[in-house]
Amino acid sequence: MESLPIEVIGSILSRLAAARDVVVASATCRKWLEARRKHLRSLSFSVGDWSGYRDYGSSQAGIWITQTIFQTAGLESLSLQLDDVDEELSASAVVAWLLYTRETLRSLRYNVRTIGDVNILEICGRQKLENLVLSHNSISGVEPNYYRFAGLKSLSLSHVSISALDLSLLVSTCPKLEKLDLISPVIAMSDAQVTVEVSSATLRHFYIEATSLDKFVLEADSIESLHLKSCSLELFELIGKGTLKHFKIDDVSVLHLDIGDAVDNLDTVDVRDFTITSPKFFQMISKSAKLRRLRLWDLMFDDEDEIVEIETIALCFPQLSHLSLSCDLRDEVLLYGLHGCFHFENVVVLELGWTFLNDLFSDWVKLMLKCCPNLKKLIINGVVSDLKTHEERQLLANFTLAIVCVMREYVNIEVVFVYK
Amino acid sequence: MSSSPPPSSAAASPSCPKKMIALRSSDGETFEIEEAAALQSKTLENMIDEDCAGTPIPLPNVTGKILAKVVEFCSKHAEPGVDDESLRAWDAEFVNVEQATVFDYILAANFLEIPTLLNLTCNVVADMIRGKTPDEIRKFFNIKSIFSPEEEEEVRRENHWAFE
Repeated sequence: MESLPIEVIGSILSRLAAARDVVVASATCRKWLEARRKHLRSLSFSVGDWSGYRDYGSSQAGIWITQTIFQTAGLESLSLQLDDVDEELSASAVVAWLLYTRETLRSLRYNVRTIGDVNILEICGRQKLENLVLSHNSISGVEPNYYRFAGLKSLSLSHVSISALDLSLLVSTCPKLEKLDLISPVIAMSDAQVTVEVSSATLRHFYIEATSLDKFVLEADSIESLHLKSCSLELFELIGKGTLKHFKIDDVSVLHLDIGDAVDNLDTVDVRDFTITSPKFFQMISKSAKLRRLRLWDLMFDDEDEIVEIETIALCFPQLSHLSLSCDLRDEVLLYGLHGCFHFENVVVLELGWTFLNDLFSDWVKLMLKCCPNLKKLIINGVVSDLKTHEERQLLANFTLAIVCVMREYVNIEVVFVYK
Repeated sequence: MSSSPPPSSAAASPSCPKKMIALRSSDGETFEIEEAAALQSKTLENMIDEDCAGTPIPLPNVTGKILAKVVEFCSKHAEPGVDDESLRAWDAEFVNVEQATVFDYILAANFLEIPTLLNLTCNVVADMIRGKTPDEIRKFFNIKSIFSPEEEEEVRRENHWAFE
């Protein structure tokens, strides 16, 4: 240990990150103390790590944090999770921390309740920031001519109040943005309809969660992954150049979904807990001949004509290697083409699940196994928490027995059970 | 004694065959490493750019015992098609060694500028440190150079809130 260079000690202390741990460890010897003073790159102050930031009162905590930050030089990553406090921190103290570190700071996680506003954009714009995670804050009056986040690659806004216009302008001030996460954004509604339009030529990953909007239009010529979760939208439109590789929808309701015509590069489509309201959805992805992973889970179809037949999946996606299907087999068993003869030549991992178990499920499993000649792994994923009556439990017992027989027949396939 | 990782089944590039780089440890052992694996080290990357003659690159700061493991690490991390979970498990096993060896890995990763190995090993040491008092840390790592009683008192007083 004594042979480690001081920069490496700094690197190790940086990985401790939690301020108290860093301060205590640096009291080990002179070299470690100097490492904290000159070579510490990462520091974190979080009520989750130490309740003292809350229990000793905000003004005392503010003094200790100021002291510790001012003892560093060249900090590159700062995390401030001081939201769960009884009294707000002084804005001037927080501003002092940001001003002190801004010349070298590359990553900032900011979730602080302050008396008075702290304009993060103004303090940190025009600096080296590459990663910004902002929570429980508000952004207003974005001035694209006044500052630019020239180096910002990743932006995450969680429970942030911002107008649709300011969001659009903010993204335009980030010429290198690659990743954008919007979690529970509070988008001010000035008119009856709220349309959010975001445009970025460099954006590769977009994630939006827990929002309810009328229209969201994303223009992103370099987009690779798109993930919508727990959203309720009238319209979501992606305008791009067919670069999308990973498309994930989870617990979403959207009336009009459009990811463009050029879906040639789609590699993964993961759809769960989604109400399909338009015929275009499957049509939209059906041209993705390169698709390798597909999940259709807990889908609801507004219109019976939209129900997807497994045969169609096999025909459209010859390269498929991972397939996950769940369904409510009470009525749709015939519609799933149990008598079809189709093969998933390349599927190596098959996941089948139920929300309501019935005795048709094991037959479906057997049929699917016949259609996957090169299968290596079978995952059975089912909801068992609501199997309460004797009959229901007997169903599970029968199902288990059926699968045991299946496993005896297909000895080379690994079987995994996931029960919820 | 020389060891070389088994050739992978990936096709060689059209311009030159799958290139092996020779490395020589401080104690004279020679090791071969695939170019793709060697590029994990920024130091080696710079050296490879400068010299294509194929003479073994001398690494006076790394012993044969450690260099063998570093080659193994870089080769594993250059392997295509390994999923994240398996790699994490492999990494955990790789650093499941005695303290002194972890420090040797850190020194090698620092000298050879291998960010993945440096990250992995520094995290291991950070985990060893977390939750220990300065005294416990000194005992655990056998750190001899310490503060005088006055210095120690000053350090604790300055940031007393952390020691409560």
